[in-house]
Amino acid sequence: MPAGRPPKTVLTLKVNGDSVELAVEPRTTLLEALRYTLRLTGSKQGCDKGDCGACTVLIDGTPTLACLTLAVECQGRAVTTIEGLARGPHVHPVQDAFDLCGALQCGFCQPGMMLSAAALLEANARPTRLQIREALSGNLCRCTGYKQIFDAVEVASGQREVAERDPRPTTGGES
Amino acid sequence: MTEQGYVRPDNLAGALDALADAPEGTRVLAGGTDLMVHLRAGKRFPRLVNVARVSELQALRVWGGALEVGAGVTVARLLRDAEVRRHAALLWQAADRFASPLVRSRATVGGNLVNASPAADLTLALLALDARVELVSRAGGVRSLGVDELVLGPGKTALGAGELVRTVRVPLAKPTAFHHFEKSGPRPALEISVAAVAVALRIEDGRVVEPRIACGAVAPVPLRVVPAEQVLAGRELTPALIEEAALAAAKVVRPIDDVRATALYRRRLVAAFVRRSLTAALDSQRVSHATGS
Ligand SMILES: Cc1cc2nc3c(=O)[nH]c(=O)nc-3n(C[C@H](O)[C@H](O)[C@H](O)COP(=O)(O)OP(=O)(O)OC[C@H]3O[C@@H](n4cnc5c(N)ncnc54)[C@H](O)[C@@H]3O)c2cc1C
Ligand code: FES
Ligand code: FES
Repeated sequence: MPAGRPPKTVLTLKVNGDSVELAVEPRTTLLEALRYTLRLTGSKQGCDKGDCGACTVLIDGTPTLACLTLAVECQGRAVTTIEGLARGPHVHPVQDAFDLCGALQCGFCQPGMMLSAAALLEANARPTRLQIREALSGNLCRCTGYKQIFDAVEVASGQREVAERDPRPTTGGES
Repeated sequence: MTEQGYVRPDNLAGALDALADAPEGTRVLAGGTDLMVHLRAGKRFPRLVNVARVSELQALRVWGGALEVGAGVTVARLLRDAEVRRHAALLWQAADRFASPLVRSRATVGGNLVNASPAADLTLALLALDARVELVSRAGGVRSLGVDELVLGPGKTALGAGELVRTVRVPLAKPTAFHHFEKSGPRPALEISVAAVAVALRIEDGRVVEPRIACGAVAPVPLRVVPAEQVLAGRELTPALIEEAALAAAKVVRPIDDVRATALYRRRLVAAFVRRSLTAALDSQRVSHATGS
């Protein structure tokens, strides 16, 4: 063992459907393992302390903050990142709706936002506006004002029509 | 995984063993929503004992005249549980005002207690509910403490070496009970409380019985405001009495100025929250009179 570095542990995770083996130090977070060992940089490192939700991934289907989760806690579990949300060649309905509604600007919040939204729709196919707001409340967005995001989840759940593709989203106020 | 720095025992005996011969600074890892934040901030823990798989910490049931809540029960589980809502409405309300679903699915009752934050919401509710916390260790067996005996200061508890929190026992609410939780900020809450107030009391024959009022984020520990309780005990709830209790509460709390609020503002919030809680109690009484129940 190199001096000063703790010994690594070999883990098996199921990441986006594939079984992967990786060696991590005991205090490596899941977020670090995904981004810097597996090079899946879709999960964002925002605050790195639980406040922003940019690091949200699904662990066995449950939205989870990867920055507050140790990689070693995930031994044998199924992790879905934004890279795995699309189903083969087809984008996930949430991804399509976010695009249609112009629910993103800088995009930093989007991976986490879309995974929280996808998990919500998995559990509740027709959520109310309030349920949508509640489910996404741990995912902060500094750009959109949230209205287009909540609209997009309604579109994805078939509860709202999109008039046309809006190329330039405006900032609305719904927080 | 059994390497030195991290263990994940499958049962309570394994967890107690892992804690018993542990190096100084060893910590239990439950949901990690506090511990991981400390870790990211540079704190080092030579050993982490992950208790996620310890089924003995997962109890949630009515048992022996109390609601038994395992230390590993998450906020999300409290919210889903009908018994919690029925027998310990105050705890349910605190859970309902707790963070976002991303945190609720991980954060546990035991972690909230042992992290010993002055702003810990579940701890505040458990203090007002007169809950008993059961600690267990390999060497010392089982002992039981009140919340105020467990939580001694910011980040400081009476937990001994090798000890962990197993369960919390909450006395079942009587039919005459009134519970009310107030917390600053929006809901769902994204931040820890600037101030919070938890009230549990009973109204019997028109009089207040065994009032317990606990205030959060306004003292080094979640604090019972005993003088305000004494104002209420045995008296009939009236707007004048409510005002007297609200002022008494604001007087005994010891808030500080920090980046999130001034001490004066916190003191005013305490008065407002006590006033609001007791007014709700008065209203609930009127409703039950009007409906003859
Ligand atoms: C974004 C965010 C929002 C938050 N919002 C709130 C809020 O609204 N209200 C609130 O009260 N808190 C809030 N918190 C703080 C935190 O979520 C809670 O204190 C939570 O209950 C901690 O539980 P845990 O299981 O995550 O504890 P952990 O982080 O796993 O542990 C915390 C401490 O308790 C110890 N511990 C845990 N379980 C045991 C046990 N069984 N026996 C002995 N020691 C134990 C650990 O060793 C550690 O010292 C928030 C945190 C974040 C990151
Ligand atoms: S990076 Fe995990 S919550 Fe901000
Ligand atoms: S689009 Fe920029 S943070 Fe949400």
